[in-house]
Amino acid sequence: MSVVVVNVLGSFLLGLFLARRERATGGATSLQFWGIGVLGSFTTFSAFSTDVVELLAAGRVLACVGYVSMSLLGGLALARVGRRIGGVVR
Amino acid sequence: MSFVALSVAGAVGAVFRYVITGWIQSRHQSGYPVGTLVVNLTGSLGLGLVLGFDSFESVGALAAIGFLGGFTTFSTWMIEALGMGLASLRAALNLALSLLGGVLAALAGFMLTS
Repeated sequence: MSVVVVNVLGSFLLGLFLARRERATGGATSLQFWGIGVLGSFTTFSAFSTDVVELLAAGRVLACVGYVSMSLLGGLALARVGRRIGGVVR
Repeated sequence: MSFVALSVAGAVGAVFRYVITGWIQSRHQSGYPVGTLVVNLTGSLGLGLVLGFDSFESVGALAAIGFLGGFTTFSTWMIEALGMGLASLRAALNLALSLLGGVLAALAGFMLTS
């Protein structure tokens, strides 16, 4: 469950950060540190895919569908919201 | 101790991801984010391998989990799919390929060591 929260929140923050960065004059170092390093590592794909395998192995198909949809729809939606907000707020 | 192992390994994983995705992206012109796909699938295989072992309470196993957590990334995947246009075939393909590939890789890793 915590993996969903971390992944969706991290997608939002990365969207926000990248949109803000397009408007600012941040150096390449800040992109590497915050974007790739901190936010890229805060979220994780490997725990996501092993969670899916564990849910399927336990026969919890409905929970698995819910987990995948929440992660993907939530991640895409919040990354988009983050980009929108970051593009407007200075 | 476990906290230190996780943090250091996560940071090392992020550096590996940065170098490997940069190297892969520089070797083709398609603009398709193959680099992220490669690190996410190999990282899923790796975590499946680690979790297949019965006990993973050692510092070494924690370091492996931290490394793979930092090596793979969910947020970049989301941002790249979003950048392709949400209703586009490219985005749907990217999402499906990573999702199915990641689950199959994790399953393969798990079955190899359990």
